[in-house]
Amino acid sequence: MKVRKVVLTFVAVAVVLGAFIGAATPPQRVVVAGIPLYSEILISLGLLDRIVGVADSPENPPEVAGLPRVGPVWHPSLEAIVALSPDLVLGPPPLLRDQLESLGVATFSGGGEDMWITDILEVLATIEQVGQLMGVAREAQILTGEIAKAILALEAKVLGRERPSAAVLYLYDPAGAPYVAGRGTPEDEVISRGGGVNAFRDLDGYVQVGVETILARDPAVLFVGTGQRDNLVRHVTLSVLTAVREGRVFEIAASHLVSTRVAEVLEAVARALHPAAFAEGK
Amino acid sequence: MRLSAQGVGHRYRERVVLSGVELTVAGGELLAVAGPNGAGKSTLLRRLSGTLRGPGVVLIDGADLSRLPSRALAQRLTMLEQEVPADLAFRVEELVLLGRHPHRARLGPPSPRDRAAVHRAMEAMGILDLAPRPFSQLSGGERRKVLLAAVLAQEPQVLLLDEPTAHLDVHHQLEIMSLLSRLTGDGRAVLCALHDLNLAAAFAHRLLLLKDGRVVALGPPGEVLTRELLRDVFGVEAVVTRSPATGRPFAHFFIPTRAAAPNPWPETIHPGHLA
Amino acid sequence: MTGTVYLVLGALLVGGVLAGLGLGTTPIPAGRLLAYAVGDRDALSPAELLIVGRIRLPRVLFGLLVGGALAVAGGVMQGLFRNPLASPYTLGLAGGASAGAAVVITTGLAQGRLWALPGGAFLGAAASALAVGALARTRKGTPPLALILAGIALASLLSAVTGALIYFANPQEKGAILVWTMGGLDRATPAALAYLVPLVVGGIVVVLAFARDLDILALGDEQASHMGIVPGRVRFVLLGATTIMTAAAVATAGPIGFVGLIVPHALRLVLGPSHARLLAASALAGGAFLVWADLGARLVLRPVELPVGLITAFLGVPFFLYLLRRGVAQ
Repeated sequence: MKVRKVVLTFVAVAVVLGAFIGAATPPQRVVVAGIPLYSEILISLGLLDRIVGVADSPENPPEVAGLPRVGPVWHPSLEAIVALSPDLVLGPPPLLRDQLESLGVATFSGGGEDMWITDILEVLATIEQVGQLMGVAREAQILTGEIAKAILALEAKVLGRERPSAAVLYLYDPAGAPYVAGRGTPEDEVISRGGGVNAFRDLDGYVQVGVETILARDPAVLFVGTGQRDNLVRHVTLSVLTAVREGRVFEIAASHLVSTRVAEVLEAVARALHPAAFAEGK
Repeated sequence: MRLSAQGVGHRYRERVVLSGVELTVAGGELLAVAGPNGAGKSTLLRRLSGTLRGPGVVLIDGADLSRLPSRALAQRLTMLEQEVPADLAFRVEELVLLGRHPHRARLGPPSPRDRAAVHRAMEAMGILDLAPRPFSQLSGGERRKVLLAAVLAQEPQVLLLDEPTAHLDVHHQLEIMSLLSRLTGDGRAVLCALHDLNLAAAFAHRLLLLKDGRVVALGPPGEVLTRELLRDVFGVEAVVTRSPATGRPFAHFFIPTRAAAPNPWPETIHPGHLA
Repeated sequence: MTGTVYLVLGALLVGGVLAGLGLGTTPIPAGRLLAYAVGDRDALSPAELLIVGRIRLPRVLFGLLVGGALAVAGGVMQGLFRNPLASPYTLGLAGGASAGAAVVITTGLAQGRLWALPGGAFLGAAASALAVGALARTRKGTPPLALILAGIALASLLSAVTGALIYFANPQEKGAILVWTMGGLDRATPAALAYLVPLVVGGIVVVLAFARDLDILALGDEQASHMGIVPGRVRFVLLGATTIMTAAAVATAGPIGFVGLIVPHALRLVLGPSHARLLAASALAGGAFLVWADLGARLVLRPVELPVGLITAFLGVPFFLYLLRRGVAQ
């Protein structure tokens, strides 16, 4: 009688503990089916070995170079993902997410309702959420703390200084009208926090405006995508911009905007906008 | 003005459609070309116009036709094809003006000479009142007259025509043949292929009979329009008389009987019973 | 009637040029433009002069040349193929140019090089035309129907190639290729104008010189040859001239659609079939049409610029509906 009671108790405790442990075991096989940000987060949290597959993107961090591919980042393959038997898929697009969930695979995408990460706060939130899912909440908080600290320090450096007008242009050859980054884009946020004013903040998203408009607004500082400086300097009409003539054209790594390295881009932008603030030394 | 053909022939995909044609036409003459279907009438005309190449040589005033540049040739010789295009949106006077092309520079408005030639051609064809009308709205006879006016505006010395009276009613047929006859009065040479032997005999100075690509007869209608030749070339029986209307030879054709062939419908129809 | 048409076209042309030079982010009244043109150097400020001279003027000239070239080429194609739905792109030139541009963009050759993109597009268009000509040739010449069929086949192939290049390109390249294929006048560099002017003007002169030949071809090849025309040679010259004009226009502006289709077709309804008149008017009307369409592209969603090909496509819709109502059975 007493033996039966002991055994039952023991079994009950074991079952409860087992469920608890099962629930508490973080994912071991993670597939990144979205932007490289997720890979970066996992790497920064020391979880590279848990990544079993990534979506192919030219901006993937070098650490994931040897890992199996599940398709291009704008069109990942359901089959390829499922073949890797993941217990968590990060950053899939909406259709893929529904398909994975209906197959019983857990997914997570940052960026809130629209699943679109466009500002630094959403990047930090994503880091914390991924950290929680992976069972390393404390390490994630440390990481976000470091990034936030770096950003605040940069913002303090340029605080109170007069804000020059600036713009981010993307152009793929020395002719034609470029794309500009309007409000709601990571580029816009980085200009603001870096101590500048986006000359195209009245427009939404990435738009193609005519060269006349760019000439009329004549931003004091210009940023272009990697390798595009020549396109601007040699441009038939845009080369007359004040910023071009006075040598204030800077290339930024757009891939580091929605990334754990966002503070690096912010620093580059802040230095370009307020060289005097950084010349004084730390 | 002299057009001559020496040993002229033509092959089409291993088949000889014309061979050994010798003829000379001088200005002021109307020569009619006749023969059964497939005898080579159109082919002969196209060889004479330079459109087709083949054995033999065609000379215009002693010059080899095939060596003349297209434009130079078109200034002296032209042809009117049998088919009349139907769906042209041009106005009549625009179309007749096209005939002046070989005489005009590449760019520039028509010269007074061009306009005069167009006017003369339309007057000769009696279509001056049709000048502003769209070609597509004309009747079959009127269209052929317009095209004839266009080639007349080209002011050729030699005019070749392939079945100019096809699908026309008798009034228009006579009208056109009379006009062609008048043209020879200006010293031009006219050759035309005709189906209607009696029409040919009524207007031509000489008649040329073709059979299986060879010239069978060439001479005045009286010599060519004979019972024997008609039987030989066309396989028909005829009686040739002098027409009281034209004074020219006129062939009266017998309806062929099939007395020698077995009657496929015995006890029902006998050809001889047709009244 | 012809006089009235030319008057209207002239007014549209001049109006379009003045509007194109005067309207934009900095509006400049026509009066001051004209004053500057007749010698009053103070009529425009240096900033305005920069905008008008270096941005708007090349763009307007570009529009006149490209629009004129496409309209004339379209008129010739409609005459050669006796088909009112023929266009400058019937021989696959648009597909070839797009494929050429896609190759240049995805291989990164366009970075820093002004000539790469137009050069690639031109080569693509020229290669496509030569391929179509070679495919359609038979022992006895090149029949028009064979050209049309070969053009369709090649256009399908090139469309698949371009689609594949787009698919494998990274997101930025995708955007660049797609925007290029919609056509735009914002790439009007002085270098582009330098090669466009002789090719387009020369092409139009050649075409006008053979305009009567094109008329006569309507009578049938045999009859035409009696009137001093060599049909094969005329077709070769006209197709060659239109291919060069169209490839030159498309190389820098991208494949802008509907100009080559609508303009000559509409003018034919008004002016009649004589090609000398039709093609000369098409040159003017095509230029005016494109300049006005570009004005729409620049101003409709100011300050965002639309590709001009979108505007011409929208304008194509009412045109085709009109044709439908009127009954295309002609």
